[in-house]
Amino acid sequence: MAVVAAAKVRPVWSADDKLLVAVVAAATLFLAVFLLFPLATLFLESFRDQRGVFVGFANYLRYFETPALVGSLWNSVWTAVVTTLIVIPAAFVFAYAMTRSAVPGKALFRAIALIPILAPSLLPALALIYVFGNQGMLRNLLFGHSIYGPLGIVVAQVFYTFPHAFLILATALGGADARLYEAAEALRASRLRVLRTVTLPTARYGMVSASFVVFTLVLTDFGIPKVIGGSFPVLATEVYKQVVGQQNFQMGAVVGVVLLVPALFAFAADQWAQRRQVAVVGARAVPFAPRRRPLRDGPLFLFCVLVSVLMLGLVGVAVWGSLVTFWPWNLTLSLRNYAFGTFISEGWGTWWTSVRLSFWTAVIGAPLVFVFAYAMERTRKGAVVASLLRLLAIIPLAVPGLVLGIAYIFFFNAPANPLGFLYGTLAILVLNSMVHFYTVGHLASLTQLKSLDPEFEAVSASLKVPILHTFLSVILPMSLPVLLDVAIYLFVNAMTTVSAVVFLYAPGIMPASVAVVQMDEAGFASPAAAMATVILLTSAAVKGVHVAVDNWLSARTQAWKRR
Amino acid sequence: MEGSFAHPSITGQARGAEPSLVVERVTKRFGPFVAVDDVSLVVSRGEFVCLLGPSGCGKTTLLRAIAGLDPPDEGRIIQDGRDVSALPPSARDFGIVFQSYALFPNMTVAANVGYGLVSQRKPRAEIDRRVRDLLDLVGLADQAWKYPAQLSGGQQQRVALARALAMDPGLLLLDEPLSALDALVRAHLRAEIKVLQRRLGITTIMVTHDQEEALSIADRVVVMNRGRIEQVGTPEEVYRHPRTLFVAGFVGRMNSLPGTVLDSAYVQVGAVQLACRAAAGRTTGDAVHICLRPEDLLPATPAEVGTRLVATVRGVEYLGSIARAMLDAAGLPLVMEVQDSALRRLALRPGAAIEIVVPADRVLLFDRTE
Repeated sequence: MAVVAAAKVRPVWSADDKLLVAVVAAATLFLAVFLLFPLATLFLESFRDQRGVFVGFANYLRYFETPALVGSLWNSVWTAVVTTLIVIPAAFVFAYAMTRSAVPGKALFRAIALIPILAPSLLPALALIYVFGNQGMLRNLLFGHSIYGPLGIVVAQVFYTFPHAFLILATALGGADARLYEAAEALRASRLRVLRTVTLPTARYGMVSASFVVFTLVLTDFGIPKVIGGSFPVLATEVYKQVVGQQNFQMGAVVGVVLLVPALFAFAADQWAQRRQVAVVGARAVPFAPRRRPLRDGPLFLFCVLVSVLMLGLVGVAVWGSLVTFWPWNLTLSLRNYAFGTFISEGWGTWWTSVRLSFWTAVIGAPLVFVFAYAMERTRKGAVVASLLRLLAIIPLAVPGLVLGIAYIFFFNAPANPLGFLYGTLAILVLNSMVHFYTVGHLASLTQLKSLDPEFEAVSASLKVPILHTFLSVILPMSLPVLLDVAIYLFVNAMTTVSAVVFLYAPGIMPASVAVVQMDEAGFASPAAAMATVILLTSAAVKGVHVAVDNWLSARTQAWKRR
Repeated sequence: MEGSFAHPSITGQARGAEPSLVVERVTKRFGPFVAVDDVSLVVSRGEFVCLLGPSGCGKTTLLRAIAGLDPPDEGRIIQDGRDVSALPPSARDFGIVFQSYALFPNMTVAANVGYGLVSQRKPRAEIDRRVRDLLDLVGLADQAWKYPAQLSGGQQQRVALARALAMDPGLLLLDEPLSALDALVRAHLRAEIKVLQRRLGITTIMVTHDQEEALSIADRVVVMNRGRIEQVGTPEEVYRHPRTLFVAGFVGRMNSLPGTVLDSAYVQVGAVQLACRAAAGRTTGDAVHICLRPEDLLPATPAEVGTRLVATVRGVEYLGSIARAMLDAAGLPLVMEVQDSALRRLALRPGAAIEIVVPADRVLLFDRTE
């Protein structure tokens, strides 16, 4: 039995290993073709002239020598900073009220605060124009200032980004450890000291994260500055003007790269903050249950009412405006503005396009994202490819929709690309939306998979059960609620997004959100508001169905959760 | 019912024939870290072997290498004469129970136990009968239609055990199967697993960091440290005759003091010269660790033979059936374990003086290298 030298082991691949590696390879190919290659093409194009000749930094020099373009960069940055400075404190107080106080009606407040997520970003901008615009009923309140420009942009962005910041901060504040508060109380710390030493540190990284998310959202949003920006140029509208207006694709590529840089910075900072957030709440934390304290709860309640009234007011004005016959001279209600066919050639067809786009994005995207996440999480082979894939999967979060849109034009419109047939079809809109919103679904899937026992697959292998069987009979049923969440997230975002699809739609497949932009541009503000309302209602309806299905699902298939 | 199992008790009869499992020079690295370092081990048919060691010693890695979950980088693993080193888990022959049990939460107890049988497309009636037999075996026949979350920790553990046995594996692997349970259930299940293992005669390898558990359940204990095997032996061998200082310190409690060899019968420790059998064959002046089990220190009676020391009691840790006395014995800090009855008789309390005896055959010596 004596052995001279220990023999190297070359593990044999099982059928499971082969399957998982195949899926990982497919996922890598998918993200390479629909994310990496387009972005690389965009990057390369920014160094070429119109004829495709390499010109080095000439395009960038021209960019920085054009005052209008550099000015738009500065405008984008400062409006984003101002918006962030307003939204974060407000969202923090709101999130604090929802998680750490005994304010009544939390569920209602929460639902109201999340409404803007269901509507395109243009909706608050359109509402502001109704109220403070040239024909606005309250425009005198602005004392001669114009709502068209930075003021309107910032106010509309505050509404649009509020729920995003609120969700992050509510999560950060929600994971409070009651034991810390009990300890602070036992040590006789004053309330203010508790806030400073216990509450704020736990939420610190949440605030960093929320700040960067808001900053990036504002920086890369296209809808709001398009509608209410007037002659105030920002990066997002500038890139649209360059590409769609002047057909100057090279300069569009430069602006795209310029837009990508701050977004990447914000993204890296956010990743850093999130990594720090993990350690704050241990697994053994005791949930914090706030007690009633009128002196704290009273003002918080008033604040929540104020936020809700503003939210509902703004959405309400948009809906009302869409129902008014001719703002502001004929205020009788009618559905005239909903006869979209009279304002835009594709009419209600744009809504149907959006529904189809959202449906396919959700129905194909959610399972795809989940299966990909599963394979990269569980594969025992191909570790290098899997880690590359993990990186690829979080990049979309950092890529503004506009940049992705332009990148798709460069990549798929190139005559040599065999995938060129996709250009101008609904398929490319679906693929673009799937990639654009890939990361959130990916992270949600990962969180779910990490909550499952990592030994399920090991046990299955010992019982000689193929991994596909275990995936279908254990992993998938247990993850259905998360899969549904991801699908709804994809649906709502595909329904409301403007930024990427605005470069990619073709005649016959104009999405409703783009129709809002087009009608507004053509001077049909009320029909635009009407279409935004239709989008809001569609998202809300889907969300409602989601809640119902989720309840049914947990009753039917999640019986094992009951004790 | 026993007849339905493919492994009738063959303990004893087949010992020494073809071994059930041979681990030959297995090495497993994670990056620069060597988790298992050139480990060899032979497990006989029907034997119950415990891999014992502190966390990070490589015991779980070795188990996972045997299972094929983390295939080794080097070496061979031969099961029932078949080289399985490179095979994936699904091509090997074992049942496994994890610390978390990894029961499928969305399936009933019966579905969990029958999970592997169903995918083999066996007739429904046969599966049902087999599942019923297995649940009978672990005493859970009446819980078949419950979900895992509705069971206690101990019951979940038994379901996991039944599931691991369902496919008639030639080898049962247990990865800290009792760690998640509270002390009473743990002791009870420990005994049950042992009885079951004996009855089925199934070769079993269990990983644990609990030395009491290992000593009580195993036929042989494999003590591991830093990826290497320190000692393999029966529980008694490992406890009474630890081969290394690590084993002496890890298995059971130990008084360990630095000293030097005086001659073939005595060692010097502090100001004390201890009579010591183990000194025979050592060179004078050898730097050694002198190890004494707390229960080997005896209150002096005329009948006891050994080195007599006068000690002062510094403190007493009362543990119920036994008590530990912290002693200052001629300048040596020693811990002595006495029965509760002895404690009463000797009236040990802080400050009390007592004479103790150190039997020469119970003094263990280990090399001391700086």
